[in-house]
Amino acid sequence: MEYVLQTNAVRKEYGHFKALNGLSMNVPKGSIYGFVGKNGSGKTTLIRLACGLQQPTEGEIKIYGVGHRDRAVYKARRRIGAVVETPSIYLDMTAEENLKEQYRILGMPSFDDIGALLHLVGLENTGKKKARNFSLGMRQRLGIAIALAGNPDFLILDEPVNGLDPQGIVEIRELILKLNHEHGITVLISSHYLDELSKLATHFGFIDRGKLVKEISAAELEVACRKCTEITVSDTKILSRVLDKMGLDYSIKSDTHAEIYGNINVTDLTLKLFGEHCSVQSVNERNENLETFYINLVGGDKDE
Amino acid sequence: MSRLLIANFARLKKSKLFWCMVGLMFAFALFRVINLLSFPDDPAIDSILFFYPLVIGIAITLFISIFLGTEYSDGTIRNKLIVGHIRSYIYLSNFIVSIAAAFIMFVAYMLPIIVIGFPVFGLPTMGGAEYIGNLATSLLTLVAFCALHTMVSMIYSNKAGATAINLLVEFALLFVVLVLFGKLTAPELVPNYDNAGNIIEYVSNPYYPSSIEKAIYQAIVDILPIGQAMQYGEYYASPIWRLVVCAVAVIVVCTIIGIVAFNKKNIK
Repeated sequence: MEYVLQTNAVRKEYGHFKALNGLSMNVPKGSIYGFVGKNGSGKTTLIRLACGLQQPTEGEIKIYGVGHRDRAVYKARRRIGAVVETPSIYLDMTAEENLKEQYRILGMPSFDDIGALLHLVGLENTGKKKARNFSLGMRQRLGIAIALAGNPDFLILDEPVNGLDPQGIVEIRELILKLNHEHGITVLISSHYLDELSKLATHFGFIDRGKLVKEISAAELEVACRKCTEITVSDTKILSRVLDKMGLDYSIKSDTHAEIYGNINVTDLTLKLFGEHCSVQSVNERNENLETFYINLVGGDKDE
Repeated sequence: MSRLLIANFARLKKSKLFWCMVGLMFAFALFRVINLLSFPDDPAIDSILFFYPLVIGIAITLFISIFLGTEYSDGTIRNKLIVGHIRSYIYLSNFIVSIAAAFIMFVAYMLPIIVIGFPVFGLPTMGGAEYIGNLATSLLTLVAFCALHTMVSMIYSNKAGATAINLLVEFALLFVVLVLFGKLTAPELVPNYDNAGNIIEYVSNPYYPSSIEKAIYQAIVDILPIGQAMQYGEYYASPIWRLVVCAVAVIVVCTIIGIVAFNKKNIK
């Protein structure tokens, strides 16, 4: 599999503070990689390292297979577009002037595409309005437009929907999906909006205290999060025989504990187990989603 | 680096602050030329000819702090780094555009002098070769100003902070240079007066610096760009070759320090 971004045991220290502590991650080409973590877990630090804004204290970062210490990485970075934390825009310039400036930085031969790019992010009618008079949502959109200016293959978005209204969030989601599906752009997106990420991402990386605690594809996450009934019985050997006859998917956890997946008829199961002289001690239903999966992974209450 | 320069010059062209400063330089020189008319008996153009390094030096300090500081305050320096531009090139392109801004201000300053001053008051009394030497060296001093303040603005990632530091340092150094000039130009002998105010004798000036002190004071004045700026066309100026060496030293040292520090800097 080809990876656009790979990090290998990356550490980043600011004085005595370890922002990243041996983080290893792989962003597959063509994926939408959702980067999930608490405030202060190291998401933005990792993004800054990936974008070349800072150097790791230890470890290696590869962009399209090119290590960050290799001179060729500068050429590889030409394929990246990013919005890091806050949009990088000249406040005393209009949206069009900002994009022209970015086109000059990139060495683009003409400004013909700027109109289409502004239309893509919904800023085609801003005219001579300076960016300092834009709302937060408009600035976010302009930041994304600037990130898209060089037709990048790899887009890094650090909390791109912050400050956007619900409609804006939907529009950004649709834009990201369009860029990924129609143009094959790989997207690394960090966000606190787990519900939004679950609709977007094909892969997830969960970061906590500077380390990647889990890397999982959306398909694997769906399996892990499917509807599950936890059951405690006197003998799981009898349980497994009964479940096999009922054609149910399950997982034996111990001599007395098991998980059954999918919808089950509790009454039917209990009666069948009773007939086999197997007592049922407890039955608990568990529905996981990305939020509960993440919370269980990194610990802490739902209220945190 | 050409892309960075094109982008920087496009931004310079749009900068209202820059054009205000260019206008101010023109207006200031025009005012000085017109003011010379008040001295019809001694209208030598020399007195205003080499005033520009000091004025432009202070103006460029403010301009560089704000122009380069905007890249940090607006976060746009990240756009250049993210797409793979090399940090040294980013630094040098910022330095080059600062020099260009200073030279354009110089042209604006000289315009009234060349168009009105020379025809009305005549050419400078100093010889052509001396004038060319002073001119070239004074432009090198402007580059030294740019090197120093580009270094501060690229290392210090707070626009307001860099502006304050640059201006405070510049005015503090101006004060230091004025004090040192006072000491360097102090007379060796000072008059001693009687009660009626008549000079009875000349005695040694107790504040006259020793030869070692003089050498140190002169070295400080020569090294500091603002000290160099105050010397052009003045009788107490150091030899031109010395000013050239000092200006080049400031340019090289500040640029090296600036590039090394910027390469190591963690950008947020």
